[in-house]
Amino acid sequence: MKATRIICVGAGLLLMLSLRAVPSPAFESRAGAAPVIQEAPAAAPEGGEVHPPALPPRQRVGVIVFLAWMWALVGVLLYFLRLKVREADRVFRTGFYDAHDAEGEEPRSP
Amino acid sequence: MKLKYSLFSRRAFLNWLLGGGLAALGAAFIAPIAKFVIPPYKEPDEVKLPASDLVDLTDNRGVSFAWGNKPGLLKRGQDGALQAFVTVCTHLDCNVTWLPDDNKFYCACHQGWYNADGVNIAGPPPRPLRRLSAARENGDILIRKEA
Amino acid sequence: MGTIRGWLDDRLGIGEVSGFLTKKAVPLHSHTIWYYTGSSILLFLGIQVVTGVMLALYYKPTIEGANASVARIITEVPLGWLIRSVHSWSASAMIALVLVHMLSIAFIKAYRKPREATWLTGVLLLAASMAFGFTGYLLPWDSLSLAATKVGTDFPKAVPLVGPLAAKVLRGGEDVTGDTISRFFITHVCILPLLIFAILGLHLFLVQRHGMSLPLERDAREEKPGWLPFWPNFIMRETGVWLVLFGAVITLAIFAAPSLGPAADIMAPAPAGIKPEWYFLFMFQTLKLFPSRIAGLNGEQVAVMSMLAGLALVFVLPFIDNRPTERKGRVVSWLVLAAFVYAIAMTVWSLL
Repeated sequence: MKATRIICVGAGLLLMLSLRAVPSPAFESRAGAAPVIQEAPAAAPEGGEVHPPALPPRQRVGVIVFLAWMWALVGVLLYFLRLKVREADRVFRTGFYDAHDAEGEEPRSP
Repeated sequence: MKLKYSLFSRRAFLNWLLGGGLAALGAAFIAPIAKFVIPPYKEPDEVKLPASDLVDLTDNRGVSFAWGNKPGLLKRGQDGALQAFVTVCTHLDCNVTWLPDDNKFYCACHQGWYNADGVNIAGPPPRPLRRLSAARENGDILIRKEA
Repeated sequence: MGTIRGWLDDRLGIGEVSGFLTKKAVPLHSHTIWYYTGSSILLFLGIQVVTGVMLALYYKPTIEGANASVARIITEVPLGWLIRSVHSWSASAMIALVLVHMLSIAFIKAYRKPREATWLTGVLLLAASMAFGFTGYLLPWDSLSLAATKVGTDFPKAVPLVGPLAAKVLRGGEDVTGDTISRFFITHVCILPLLIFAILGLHLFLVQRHGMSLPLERDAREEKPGWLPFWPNFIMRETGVWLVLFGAVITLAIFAAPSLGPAADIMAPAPAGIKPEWYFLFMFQTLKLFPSRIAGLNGEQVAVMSMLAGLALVFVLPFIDNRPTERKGRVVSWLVLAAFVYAIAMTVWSLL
């Protein structure tokens, strides 16, 4: 159990720190590429359907990476939330919330 | 050195992790939103004017053209060479007028004056007008960003 | 952190709100999962507001500019296609959740005393959500949206007395034109948001005031169910649900971005295979079923009036089914189920 926690915490920190490294460039290069690539499709509206421009392969990979990163972070956050929910349920079962009238007080560490 | 007591509780640590994670998720979306909201400024690479416009350059007059969304002016300098300017005042962005009889550019907003070479000579404008390069090529006049 | 909270509490009384939230109890039972639907709707409403504002930065609500500006958003504006895609998918998700929420309330019978007003505001919110969908659908101004709007603004004409006038006010004239775009646009971005926030405020206030309802079997058995404090236990679970829903809509938006049809021509004949958004399909199909004349009356008029009657019944449901745990309640439940099955059947049929 303890090992799992450490791994998840480490993964979470890594994911958060990797924020700079991975997702933004994937979007920035896409945005940077936008004025160059989009000139052609902009002419299309006169006749047919306008589709979102097909992404060049590099940006396609970038989007997949971003989605993987996002879901990984969501997974880690769900794990943390699970820990917090179990803790909150445990605290509730001790009758802590019934026992006082003031708003949430948390025990301070010594 | 092992501490006798932890610097912060497990609960506080977890709260910070959770908050940090949510903030990271939020931050990942700030960049794309900003890219959407702050549009990139696109300038034309070049503007082509027909050679027939040269006829209009007599008597110190100029020919207006569109430089993207900004107004531009093509005229002949003292030595007869083609000059092109972006006729936007360097003070607060008003469009300036070329006065052929006075041989000066005039900005009506705050009475700014530029000489025939676009250099600011009177009034609030802090800098000369932006120059563009104008050249004859294959019979047309090509106006490009100044190198 | 503590001092900031204290500063705010001294001036705004935040402590009372957080005190209330800690005491608010969410009952635990086999139907607790439905309690998540309400806040999920709020999540998508928030997404709609953000993406909607962003789209409105580039959208031009004129007959010449509408389609072209949406095309520009999709092709030129950085990630415009994604913002539009999220807006489109999130709209469907929100309306789907509103319908699920309403159905769960109808089956759990949470509209009974003292929650009748909550139900009434809820039905108004459903109407507002569908109005959002309807007005938004016109804005890209492609041939499909023009046809859908022409049909949709033609129905009110069938209402006796006020119908034709209502249709004229909706359209900004006799026909769907640039004036219609202006009206639909301001309705979509200003009038409806103001309305929905006002009604939502009332709805949420009523929910807090009456507390979470309990399903009938519990009432009958008279046992006190387990419960969770809203803060932090339930809120944390809700956050988890929100994370998954948010990720799902982003993923869907990336892989299934909608395209845009060519600009509408108000003189051209309607294209083949026009249909409204999915949440209107059952009405669309029902109308197709009605013959043009019924017992000497105009078929369309009968259809529209019966649909309005159905809507009115939904609205006053708490006053029809107002006696606790009796046969009437069970009949109403079966009727609600029948209506749901009917709507699904009609929707599927219209797609075949």
